[in-house]
Amino acid sequence: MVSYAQTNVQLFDQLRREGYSNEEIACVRNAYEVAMRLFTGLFLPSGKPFLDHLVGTASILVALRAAVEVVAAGLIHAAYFRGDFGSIRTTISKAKREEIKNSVGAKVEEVVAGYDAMDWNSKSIPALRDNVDKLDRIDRYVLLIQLANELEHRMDFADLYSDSAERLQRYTERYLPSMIDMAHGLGFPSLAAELAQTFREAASGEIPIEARSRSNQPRSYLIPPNSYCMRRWISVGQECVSGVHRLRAALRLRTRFRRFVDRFAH
Amino acid sequence: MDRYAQTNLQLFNQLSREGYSNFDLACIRNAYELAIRLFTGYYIASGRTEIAHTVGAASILGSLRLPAPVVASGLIHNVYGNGDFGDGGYGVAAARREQVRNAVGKDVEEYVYRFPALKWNAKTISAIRDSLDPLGEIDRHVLLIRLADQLDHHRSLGGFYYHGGVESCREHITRNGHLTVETAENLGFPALAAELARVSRETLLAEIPVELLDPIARARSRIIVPRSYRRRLPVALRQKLIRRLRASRFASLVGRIPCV
Repeated sequence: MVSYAQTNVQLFDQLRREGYSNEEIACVRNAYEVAMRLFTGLFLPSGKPFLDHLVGTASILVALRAAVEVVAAGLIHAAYFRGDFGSIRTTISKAKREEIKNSVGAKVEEVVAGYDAMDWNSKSIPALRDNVDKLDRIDRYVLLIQLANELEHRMDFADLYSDSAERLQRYTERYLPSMIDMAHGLGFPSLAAELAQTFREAASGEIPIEARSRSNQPRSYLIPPNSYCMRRWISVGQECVSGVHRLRAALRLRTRFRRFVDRFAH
Repeated sequence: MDRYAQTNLQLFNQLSREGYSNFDLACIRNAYELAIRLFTGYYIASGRTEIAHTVGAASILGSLRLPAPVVASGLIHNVYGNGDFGDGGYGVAAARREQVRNAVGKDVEEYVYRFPALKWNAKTISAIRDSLDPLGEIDRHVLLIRLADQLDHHRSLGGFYYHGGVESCREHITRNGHLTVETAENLGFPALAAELARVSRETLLAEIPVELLDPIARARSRIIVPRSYRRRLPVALRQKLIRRLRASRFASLVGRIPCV
């Protein structure tokens, strides 16, 4: 299993070894500063800091000699759905996009927004695999980040530390062939080989139960510093938004139920 | 990429390979879980997370095949200096010690408690090197934790990433590098001594592009708080009061302010 950078210092060393210019390294450094602010205190279910995962993703992209805007976007790829912008809204917005643009430039932001827009599920994965050749430049970058993200999530037997080994087995059987095809389609056979090896190793590894994380979190979670608490207006705002979502879902359910009853009545 | 771990996953993989028992791993996992609660949001001068640094120090101790409580204490070695206990206080306190003991046990806490007491600066290093014989086992282990801490900081060029840091870091190594190496040798860890010597040599020759330097000089750790969060009012008030008292002639009253 190849070892990739997990800290900013390792990533900067790798960038220098791979021959990226000082201006390009400065661009990645700016993206790292943004990542520090947006993902501070966030952890993966395995207990690994989210920031380390982002650095790992960027490191995989560096190893593939990707363009600097792709590497920088890899460092903040989850900005619009996991980043804490200090606002009530948890999805992408104009203000958030503007903020990212001002910090890392329009080119990088375009890729990050593309990542947020690209669906990655049972329907979209086969469609993406069949249409790799038809993707535009940004979507090809986004797909490359998506594959680097998948690879990084499987490194160091991460799934086994979060008790999701069975889920990984099913996921591997279902999607690994498509991901390998996509990596080939993008022109990265080394990434395809790395995905195949890492997924198989991750699925066959064993970790003692004593080393596993006890967080029991199904997805990434925040551990705020003990001296801090959530701003009142944000917690109230988020409660209101989730209340509205619950109400909408209940109304939708009621409408469906009525239609169902009507159909039977007729 | 690196022979020492930087994440919990790499650390546990390493310790499993090195033959630590499941009981040992559970002890070290408890320490890691405490570390992420107390160091969350903290970054060292280079921008690396405090957690990555403590994992690095623990990984060095694990590579020396030291007992599990020593490796576990490597994960939380500076908790009384930089850890956020949420009490608005500083340093070692009875309530804090109790919290750490409950999480990781008495043995581990004893190492962590003694760590800040071992002063490590230009004046004390040579004295420590010359007086290793009377040290008990716990103090020898605490000294090893200090050396692992130093090695991890220098290995990642921790002092290089802020303006003015390169000179002070090189000066420190030129003055004290050989003392650190000799201390490791005298403690009976030639592999650690060789590693310290190698890293010292590399650090003296290393260069960092100016683009990577932090424009703000900060030699110490800093906290970056999630933007949706604010400091709790009692903590803010207590810290403000402490600052005011320290600046006044009533500085001796600081210790009497109850924790929040």
